[in-house]
Amino acid sequence: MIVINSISKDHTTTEVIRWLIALGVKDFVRIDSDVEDIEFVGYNGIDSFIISKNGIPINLFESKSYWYRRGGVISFSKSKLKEIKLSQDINLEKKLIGNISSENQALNDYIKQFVAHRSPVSLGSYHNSSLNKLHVLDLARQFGIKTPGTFVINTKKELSRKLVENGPLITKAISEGVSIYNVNHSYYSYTEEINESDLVNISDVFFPSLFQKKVDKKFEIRVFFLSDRFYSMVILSQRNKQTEVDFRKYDERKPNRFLPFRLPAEVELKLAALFKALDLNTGSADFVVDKNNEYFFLEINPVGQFSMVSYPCNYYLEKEVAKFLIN
Amino acid sequence: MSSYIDCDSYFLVFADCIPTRGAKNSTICDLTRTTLEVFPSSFYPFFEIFKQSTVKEIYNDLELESHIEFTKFLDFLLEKEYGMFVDDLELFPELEKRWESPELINNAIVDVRLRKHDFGGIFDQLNSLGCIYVQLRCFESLYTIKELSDVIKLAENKSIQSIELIIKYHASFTDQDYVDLYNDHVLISSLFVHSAPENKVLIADFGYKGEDQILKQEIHREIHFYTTPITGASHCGIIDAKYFSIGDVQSFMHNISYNSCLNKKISIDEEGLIKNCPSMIHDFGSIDDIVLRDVVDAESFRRVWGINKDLINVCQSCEFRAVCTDCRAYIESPDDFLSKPLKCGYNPNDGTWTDWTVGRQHAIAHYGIDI
Ligand code: SF4
Ligand code: SF4
Repeated sequence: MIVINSISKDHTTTEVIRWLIALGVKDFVRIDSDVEDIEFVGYNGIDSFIISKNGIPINLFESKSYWYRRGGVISFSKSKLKEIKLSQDINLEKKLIGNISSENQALNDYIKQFVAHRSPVSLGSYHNSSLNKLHVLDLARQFGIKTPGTFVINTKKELSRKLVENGPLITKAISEGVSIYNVNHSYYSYTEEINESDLVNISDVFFPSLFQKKVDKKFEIRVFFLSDRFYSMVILSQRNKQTEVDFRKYDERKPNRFLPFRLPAEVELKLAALFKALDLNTGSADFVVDKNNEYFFLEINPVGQFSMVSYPCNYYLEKEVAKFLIN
Repeated sequence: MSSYIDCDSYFLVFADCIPTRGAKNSTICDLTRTTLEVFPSSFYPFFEIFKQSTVKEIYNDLELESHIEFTKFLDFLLEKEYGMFVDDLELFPELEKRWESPELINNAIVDVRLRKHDFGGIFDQLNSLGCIYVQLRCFESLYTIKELSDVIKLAENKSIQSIELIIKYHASFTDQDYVDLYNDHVLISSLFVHSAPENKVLIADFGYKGEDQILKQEIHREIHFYTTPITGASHCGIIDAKYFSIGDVQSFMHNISYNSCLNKKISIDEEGLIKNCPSMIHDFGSIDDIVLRDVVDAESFRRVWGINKDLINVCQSCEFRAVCTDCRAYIESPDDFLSKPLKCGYNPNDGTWTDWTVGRQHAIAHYGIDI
């Protein structure tokens, strides 16, 4: 049995499953943590660890292959919990609900760890699904990978000093960044450039924020890593100003080119070591290459959208992932 | 005029800008910017030379009188942003010429005239073949809007992701009925109404009233009414530059590897006969007697799937072959299965488009096409 942890409407998961079916796999379970009704049934510690999906029991001991694609906590018996009154005291009730949700969280973590270890083949990692950007940059440097000068700053004074020392900086979220919308508008936080001229709009003290020296970039590289193989893509966006800092800002008239790329062997070796140190066998890594052909590592995303590499480069990564899971 | 004669770099043609050599003219298709440019085939060999020699070397190997022409050609490529100068070509591999898909059947055409098919059964079978797109063509108003809606419902929660619906105008339905039909079914990807009293477009917005421009654009759907009647399958198969497919890597790779129209297609004609396409004369039995899976498994059914433009006379030397559609049901010489599509008026030997019907009376009569 192949167990896949994902969320509903994740197109990449659907594509991989289409390949699994084409390659003859009949026994697989997709668990979409955001919508599915999952119940905990029982764990005897020996040979039976049963959860049920829409009423159908699944014995996790039978998992031969596990893919943690994405998705968070599966809530057990959410509906049943609502019916139970834990305490008349509203404050106690709140605290008890907190306790139960951390019990639920721990059980969830364990289930994912259990399947990941139990399955001879395991791809992706729940406990590593959100990495700390700053920590990863430190590690990368330890492996001899170049990174842009990185600072966390919370005063205008310090920011202005760094601008003088380094020239233009960029800033981005330390964690995930903003992606919110209401009925009329959508808001996303992008990587933004910061210049001396921006200082007038910045208060003297602000929330500690991540800044990096802006690399004089020739192009950007996105790399998808799948068990010892790299599939790289170059993003050519330097011709238009709008996308110079962040390629996700799209220019409809002159869209960026997303082309197959061959990462130099030396960069691949170091990057492989970094993935290993992070205990990840898959993920996406971003680089910028400057005018002197130096490769600057930016970040790793453990649940990278590999379809955005797969389609433009004609790599068929969805099929490669399916083949990996069958192996 | 500037010259690049001292340039020690290589000229990289971007992997998404793909040249195709034709008899007189050649093309370069920019898959990202979705453009297609034509240039004289005498320049085509440079695309091979770019892979081996630096720009300086190319100049040195050229006769002096060709320098100006070559410089102009580089100017053209740079101005269109088809490439750039690089020191290391190795870093930029080409796109692999490969196309695969997991589904056994990608798309299906179902024709309706006077016979009501068992749509429940058909959609179940298409589902087990992994079929993604369905085109439903109704030549007559056999179904009411309500009945059509019931038919579409039968396709829900299956592999089918979208249905293109072509129906005949009927005066008993209001504009709102058509809009409702669209709004009620996310499965309907497009709706065409033929034999209408006037040409017009209705907008379906699925009830969205917000201001988000991006969302608005995504939701916005048009229902097209045409006065022209679609009386039967013989309307299909027109080859025209406006149908060229130049927007997407996968469809380009598909086009050059397989038959762009018939690969992974299955059809059920108005009589319920299973065919590669409804316009084909040959059938593989009736949907009442035989399951689609058995038809798909037959080698003889899949034979046309592999007939790509490289195998088709005339098309094989046409600069549009990588982006052109194909038609195997209506061909120039009905006796020669590898002859070019009948309804194409292009001649790659002199680079001109003419009216395809001229001089084709024999084939037109053979297929009984009314012009
Ligand atoms: S083969 Fe010709 S007639 Fe048949 S579906 Fe294709 S284009 Fe239409
Ligand atoms: S000759 Fe063939 S490839 Fe060229 S336009 Fe006509 S049908 Fe298309």
